[in-house]
Order: sequence, then C-alpha cells, then structure tokens
Amino acid sequence: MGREKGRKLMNKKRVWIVIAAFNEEKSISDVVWGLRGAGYRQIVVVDDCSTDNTARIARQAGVYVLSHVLNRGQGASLKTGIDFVLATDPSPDIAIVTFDADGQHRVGDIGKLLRPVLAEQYDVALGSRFLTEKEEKEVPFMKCLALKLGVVFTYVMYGIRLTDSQNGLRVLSRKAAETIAITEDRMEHASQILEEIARNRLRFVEVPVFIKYTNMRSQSWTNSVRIGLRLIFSKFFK
Amino acid sequence: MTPTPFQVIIILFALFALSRAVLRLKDRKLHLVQFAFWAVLWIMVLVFALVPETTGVFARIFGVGRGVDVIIYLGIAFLFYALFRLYIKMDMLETNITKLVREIALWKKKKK
Repeated sequence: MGREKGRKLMNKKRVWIVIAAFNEEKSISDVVWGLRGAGYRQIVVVDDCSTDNTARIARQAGVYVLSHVLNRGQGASLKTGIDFVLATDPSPDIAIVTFDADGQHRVGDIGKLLRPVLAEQYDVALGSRFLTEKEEKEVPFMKCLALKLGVVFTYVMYGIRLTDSQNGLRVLSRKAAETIAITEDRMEHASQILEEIARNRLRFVEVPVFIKYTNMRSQSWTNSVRIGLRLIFSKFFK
Repeated sequence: MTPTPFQVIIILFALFALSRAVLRLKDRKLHLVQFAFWAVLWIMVLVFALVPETTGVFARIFGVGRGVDVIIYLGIAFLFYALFRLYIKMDMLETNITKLVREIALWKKKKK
C-alpha cells in the first residue's frame, strides 16, 4: 500500500522540468540526457537568445524548446517556461521543477523535492545546500558568506527563515506556479520567489541538495552582492 | 555692463537648448505642455544669466543666502526627480519588452 502510494506520488508524468539556458552548449546535453535517463519526459528548455548551439542541442535531445528573441535573463526565462507548462498541461496536480542548465544540480535530488509537493503537504519545495554538514563544506567561503547575507536579507525583508536563499533547484505545485508572480527578469527572481511565497502564505519546505562547484560558471560572491543591492534598489523604485 | 565669459556660455547654451525644444515641438516629438515646461526653464536660465540679480528675489523667497544657491538646490532636486522618472519609464519598457519576448516565444511554439 505504502509502495503503491509512493509510486503514485513519483508519477513522472505529472512532473515538468523547466530549464532556463543561456549559452550552455557545453552542459545542456548532459543535463537534458541526465534528466531523460532518470525518467523525466516533460522537459522545457527556454533558450534565452543564446549565441551558441544551446537551442539546437536541446532540440536534438527531443525536449520542448522555447526561444527568446532577445536576452531577458534567467527570471524571465523561467517565467516563460512556467507559463508554457501551465498553458500546455491543464492537470491540477502537476509539479514544476526549476533546474539549472549549467550542470550544478544533481538529478537524483529532484525526487526528494518532489515528494512533499506531490503529496500535497507543501506548495513549494526549495533546495538547500546548507542542510547537511557534508554539503555545506563544499561551498566556497566567500560564496557562503554572500549566501548567508541573502538568508538574513530574506528574513528581514519577508520574514521567512531559510538556510539557502539563492538555490535554483525548486519544485512548485500548480497553485504555487499560478500564484507566484515572477517580474524580476534577472537573477533577483530568486529572492522575488521567496517574497511571493511569504506574501501568498504558501506552504514551503527546504530539502537538502548537492551543488556541484566544479567546471561550471557559478555566481561569484561579488555578483551575489550586486544582485542584493539591485534588489534593495528595486524595492524603493517600484 | 559687459557679460562675463561664463554668462556668455550659459546664454549660448540656453539658446541652443531652447532651439532644440522648438525643433522637437515642430517634429511633434514634444507635446505643447512639455514644450512649455522646457521653454519656461530655459528662459529662466537666460534671465538669470543676463540679470544675475534676479536670483536674489528667489533667495529671499526661499530663505537661502545666495541666489545662485537656490538655483543649485532646485537643479539638484529636479535632476533627482528626472532620474526617478527615467528609471520608472525604463523599468516599464523593460517589463513590456520581456512580455513581448515571452509572447513571441510561446506563439512560435504554438505555431509549430
């Protein structure tokens, strides 16, 4: 009975993966095939006007590819992908996974985030690299500092306690996807999603995930600070 | 009284700016109200440059020591406001561009 319920919960037909990609020809193939290999079939790659072969490679992998005619940023791309999923699949019990195109996320972690959302215990599951000591050790010091500042910022601004405020691996229920308004086009969307979770009183849970810091273009800590400043600036001018 | 070189520069610049505003009005790139705003602004600059003593009237009204200080304070306030307006406009444009790009992406996918 328990196993049957588990199988029902992990029904991958109800799972959509949205990937925002910009000039990721080196990693997109591995990412998409990794997901397909794990049984995920409904994959949407939003090509954010890449100048390389990202879109072509994704198309060859047989996934849905949406193309931005101008570069609009990761937040805008995710919103495009989410809008596409909501318009394509009318089922009320779908789960939308946001997954990075640079290969920093582990496919195996998706299941852990899906369970609480598909079980309808939570509206949103957020990946966190700071929930286990082993994974925390992998985070470079300056990056860790910038992320912790983000955690404080999230608590002060939106009143929600988290351990990781800038993790791109998350799962949204249909309700959450329809409620969360992503209007920040660039990297500030990560904080905006948290703000929307707080504003709409969505039920959320953090789940430990692993982030690969080797052979990938990661946000530098200076960039994280810049994002934070832009976020504060936009708070006063919007 | 012979104007100082600084006054001459200000006068020439104000006349140039005024002429641009007239041209933009002729091109219909400025509405009449917008033109009136810029015309009044540059005419005031012309008056202040030609008769610097007039700034003293404003200094007395606002309770600031020197006339030129009033102009600087008002100038800074105006610039900040203009910057704010520009930021809002630019942000709105960015939002609209994103919406358009998104619609095109979804429409193209639907068409296929």
